[in-house]
Amino acid sequence: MKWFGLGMILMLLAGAVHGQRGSFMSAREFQALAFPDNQAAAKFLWLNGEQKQQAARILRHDFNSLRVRYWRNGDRTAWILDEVGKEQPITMGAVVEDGRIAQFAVLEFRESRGGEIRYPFFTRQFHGLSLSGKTLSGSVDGITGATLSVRAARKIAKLALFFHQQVMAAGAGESDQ
Amino acid sequence: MKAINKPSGSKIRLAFWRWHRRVGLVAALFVLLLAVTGILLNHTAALRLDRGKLSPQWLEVFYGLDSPVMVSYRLEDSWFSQVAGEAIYQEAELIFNCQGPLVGALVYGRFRVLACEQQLVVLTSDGSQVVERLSASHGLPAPVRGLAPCDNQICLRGDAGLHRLDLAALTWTPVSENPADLAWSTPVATPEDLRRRLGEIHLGQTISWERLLLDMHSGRILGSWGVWLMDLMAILFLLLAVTGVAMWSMGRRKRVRAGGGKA
Repeated sequence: MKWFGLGMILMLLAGAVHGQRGSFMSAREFQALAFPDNQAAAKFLWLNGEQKQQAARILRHDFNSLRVRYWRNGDRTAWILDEVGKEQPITMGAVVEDGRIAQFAVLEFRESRGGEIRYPFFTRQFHGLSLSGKTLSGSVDGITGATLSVRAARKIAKLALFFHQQVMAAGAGESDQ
Repeated sequence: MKAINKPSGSKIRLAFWRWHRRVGLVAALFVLLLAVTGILLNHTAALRLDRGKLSPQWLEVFYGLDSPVMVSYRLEDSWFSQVAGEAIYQEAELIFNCQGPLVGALVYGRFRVLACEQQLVVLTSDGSQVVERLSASHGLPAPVRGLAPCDNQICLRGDAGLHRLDLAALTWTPVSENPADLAWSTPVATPEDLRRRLGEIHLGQTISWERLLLDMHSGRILGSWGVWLMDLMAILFLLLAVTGVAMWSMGRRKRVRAGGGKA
């Protein structure tokens, strides 16, 4: 009986490790979440030098793309962005409306640990947050054992808010291609 | 002549001394190696040993590393090569690291598009900068196995079948028929001069002097049996310490006895 119990524990642990990785939401599903009425135009934000530098400051490393794809309907924008947790990129989606995060989700998690950030108890903390200077307007509680994933999520939230600001600033750099 | 019977304590002490000397001789070289590498490792940052990389010649000497695997595509006048299954170079300039093997490259309007198995990367018209990266999170039907222009769009071939990509709208439309006249992107042989340059660049980025010192210090430079050798040396060092202390202790007792009880 004790061996059965040990085996069950080992299986649960193995499942916990491998259960962290996964694809939880497709881009299409995220768009449907962001724009339930399906009215959103796909656009590109082309980054100038200053914007790339600002993005690099938020991420604390170079931002290696010249344009960022997003979807927009009025004052509502949706962004799918990647940031490395420990070694692998985490794909996250952020919906921003009126300068505040309306939705925040983990689309794909590729690390072996730290995947707890995908659960609503964590992502709900971002709702309503805005950019206050260079920081988020509210605190986001961390998760033990998921420090780097939490840090990546905070960076993505700030980046999405920053990009939203740039888009709203007279459509600077906005393009359909 | 009467044989002199040495006291047993002296015999034991002599035996210790002999083994201490033998073990010491054997271990001396490793003590030197560990001392030198240990001191250098203690000052890695100051000596910038973590920054400096071994040249390809030293890599071949210490690690037996050969020229890495390369895959190249030619787009107009530019060469795009993937080295060791990761780094993507335009000519000899590193552009980015790709997720998966490079499987295609084409010109698409004012962009260059490169496909790796798990990622599609859009580059500027001169190929020098990344415009955008697309992965399965964006709907890419990975793994991708081939890339071809089709009807002013991009066709991708993969395990999930054939898809047509509208890059602007980011739609991936399954294509049921397999058009026979698609010009699938195919790799070409990497020119020798470029191969040599990329080999030097890539190997030169792999191992630092710090890494080499760590491998020497641990014995891993000789592979797994090098680690066992270092473990054996550690046991010999323990023997040296034990025999050394034993000899000191015995000599002390002898001095005490000879001195009439005074230490």
